[in-house]
Amino acid sequence: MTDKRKSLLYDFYKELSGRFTTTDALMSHALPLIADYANADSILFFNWDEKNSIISQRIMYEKGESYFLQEDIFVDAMSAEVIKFLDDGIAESPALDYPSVYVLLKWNTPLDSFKTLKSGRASRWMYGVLRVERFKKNKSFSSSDKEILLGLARELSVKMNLTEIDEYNTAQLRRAEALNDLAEVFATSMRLRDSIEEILKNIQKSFRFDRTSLYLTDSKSGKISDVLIVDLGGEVKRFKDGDDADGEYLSNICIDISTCYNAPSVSDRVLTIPLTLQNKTLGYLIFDNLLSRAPISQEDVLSLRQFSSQIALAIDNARLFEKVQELSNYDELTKLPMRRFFNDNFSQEIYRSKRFNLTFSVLMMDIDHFKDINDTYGHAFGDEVLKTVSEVIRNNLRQTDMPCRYGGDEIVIMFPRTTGEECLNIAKRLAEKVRIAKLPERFTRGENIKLSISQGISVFPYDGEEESGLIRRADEALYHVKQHGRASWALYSDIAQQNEKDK
Amino acid sequence: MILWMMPDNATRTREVMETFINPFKKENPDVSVTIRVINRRTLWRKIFTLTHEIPGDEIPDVIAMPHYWTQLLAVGGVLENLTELDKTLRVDNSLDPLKPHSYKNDSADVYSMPWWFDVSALHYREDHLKLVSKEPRRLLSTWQGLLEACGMLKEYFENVEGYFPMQNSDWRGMLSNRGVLPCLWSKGAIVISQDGKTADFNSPAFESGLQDYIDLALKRYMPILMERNSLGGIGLGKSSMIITRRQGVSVFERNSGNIILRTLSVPKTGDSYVNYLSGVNLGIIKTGAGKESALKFLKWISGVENQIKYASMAEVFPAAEESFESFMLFSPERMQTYNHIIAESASLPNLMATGTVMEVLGEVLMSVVNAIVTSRYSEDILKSELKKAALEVSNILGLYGG
Repeated sequence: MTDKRKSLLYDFYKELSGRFTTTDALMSHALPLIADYANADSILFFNWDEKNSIISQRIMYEKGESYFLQEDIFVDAMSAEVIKFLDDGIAESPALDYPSVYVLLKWNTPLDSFKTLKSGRASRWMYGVLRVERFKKNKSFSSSDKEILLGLARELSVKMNLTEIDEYNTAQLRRAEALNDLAEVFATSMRLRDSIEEILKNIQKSFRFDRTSLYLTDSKSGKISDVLIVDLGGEVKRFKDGDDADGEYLSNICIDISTCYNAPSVSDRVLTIPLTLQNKTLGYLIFDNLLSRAPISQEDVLSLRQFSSQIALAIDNARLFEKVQELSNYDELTKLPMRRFFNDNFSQEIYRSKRFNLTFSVLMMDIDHFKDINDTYGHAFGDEVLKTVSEVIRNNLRQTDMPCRYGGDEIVIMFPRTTGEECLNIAKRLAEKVRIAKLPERFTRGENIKLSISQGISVFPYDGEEESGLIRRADEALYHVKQHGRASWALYSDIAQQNEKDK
Repeated sequence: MILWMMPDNATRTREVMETFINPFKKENPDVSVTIRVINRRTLWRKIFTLTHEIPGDEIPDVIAMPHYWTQLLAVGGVLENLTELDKTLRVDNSLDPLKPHSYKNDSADVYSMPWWFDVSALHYREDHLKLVSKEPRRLLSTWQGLLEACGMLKEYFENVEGYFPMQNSDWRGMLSNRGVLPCLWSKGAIVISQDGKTADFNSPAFESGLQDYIDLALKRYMPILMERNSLGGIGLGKSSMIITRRQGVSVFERNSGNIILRTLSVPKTGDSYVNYLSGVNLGIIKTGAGKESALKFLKWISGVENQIKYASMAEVFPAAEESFESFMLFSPERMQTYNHIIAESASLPNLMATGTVMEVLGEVLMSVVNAIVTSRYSEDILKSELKKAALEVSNILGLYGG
């Protein structure tokens, strides 16, 4: 090799000695240099897409500018010309009518692992091609020019390998950071919904899928009961088994899991990971790039598979936590919230209503003649009456309403954003529902037992601005109803007005 | 500073754009505009990452994009709601086929501004076609006639090295979606219905329309996957016809000299003529930095006068009704040639899944092209590819369709 050629190659080596974050950045830097060294008018870099038998252009450098263009050219890897090109590393273009040569770039895969080629052979090489053109100068490439190009291609190949390793490491670091962030989510939240939502959002953000979905199975039936989806825009959608629209959606999801997602043609764009713990399936995590059609990388698959056991554990822990909370906050017999839990919410509602200038109502009820029922039919029957009335209440409230077993047969219900009139209507409705409620046959033994309730209502802020005051006023209204024949309802303000008149 | 990103495959795009926006730069010396031209495939991949913060990744402020991407990018949280930025923005002065492509779902808010559109047509060398037919227009009215013309021309020019009757307008050298859509629509095939609920990749009409287009490559009437610069094209007498947009003619045939090119609707494969109308819209990226400047820039580009100016420079059509009328009236020849071609055109719907369905169609064509160049092509391969694609499209529409 001449000193001039050595010096040129050394210059090229020095120019490429910096770090390039992507192979595109490397090429954008290297192509102008090669064009200069090779006295070329334009230079193009192609990826060798062995699967589709094409070389596919990625970047072109011409007239001082780099362009991200596309040109696909058929390459028959089994042809004698291509086999010779793979050996020689350089070949003149057979088709172009001006001097141009193809130069082979060949570098190791980042993990130095083997991949299977279309021909069935295993290879640890990646291939690319440079096309160096002299369409203006129209000067053919001498053997010395070709030597220089081969030397530059060798140097560039080494740098391609290093840059891809860098890219690979950066991606791995990103994955590790993402998983670390997720681990923090587990540590900071025990609430199932909060933590799951955070986990999904973080995965979506870090791994950049089109959609990240979690299908949770019901621990008893094993069927899918909850679905959480983070869509392309980062919006979280939640579907629950139950009402018609969601039910229909869930049945579609089941079709997705069983058919669409297992279809081989979409498998590299959809990743389904079952969340299992001690041979129990808690749900499925599904990541997809169905819209963008970008393949999901094997590295992403590995990272998420490894992490799925932690996610399963977190879900199990969160479910356990919720179960414990449920046990401590809810009355076992009536399934209604207990007084302590109710009081917390009561305080919050007073705060919110004060802040936003809202009204809310408090209803206190008694089951009429409950003591007599207990004495006549026994405590087991009394419990059944309590359960029946509680069930009526649970089934006839809005999600925002808050009932509570206040003590014995006393039940208190808080109705946010309601007026006294509205609460009176609810009281009427509840009384009617209780009146027609049927007790189980095994307890009544054919006897027609009708239940009734008495209800008293107070309204924030007119009847009081504190918990104790509002409860006391509702209790006074209830007392009034009980004194006047039971099985009815009354607003504290009406009674107070009446009392005032009577004076 | 504004980063303006756009898809294109031609080397001249940036040059044209730089000239076009020079007056804006002079009027607004405080706003610098950088133009970034990337290929369409790269832009497609990029739009899915624009909602995530990727260190070192460029986030454009303004994007030029196929008009049927609006819904996807608006729902995906990529595009800014333009109405929220400027309540006076209106798109109801756009041509009818372009109007629905600015909105998200049923919202009245504008998410992208129509800028220009183009329409595919058949352009042919009159001198060449007269060598094989007394009535070229009649011959080229049907796809069958087009294939016959290709056969006769191939025979006539058999001694011309590198001659193909049909020039491939696809920059990549592939069979393109753009090329195949008129063949499918003319046959009555549904690529994706306007409501996003139906696509019939597996229907006889679809297969037949696709096969018509494939025949161009299969019978070696049109080059595929060859070195672009080795192909001569119409100007050099290496081709006689090209199906492309109006802009395409100028890109491919800047040096055609005095050759007379005639323009017709794409020959019908079925009962009716359907040319492909493709629009380009402008949007502002939500995560971009300079919203105020971006809006100013977007309004400048899509203004009535500038639409006409750009249409003249780039050989396309302005999107606003007023601009379009002035543009057409200015040239009686243009009016005569394109009036009926535009009237006989159709556009892809602005739906969440349209871009993805086009990707699937592109993958089918890629497999077909691969089978052709490796001499493996058969009807069975096409059927199998379409069956696979139909399943995928059906799943995609199930999740993201109407």
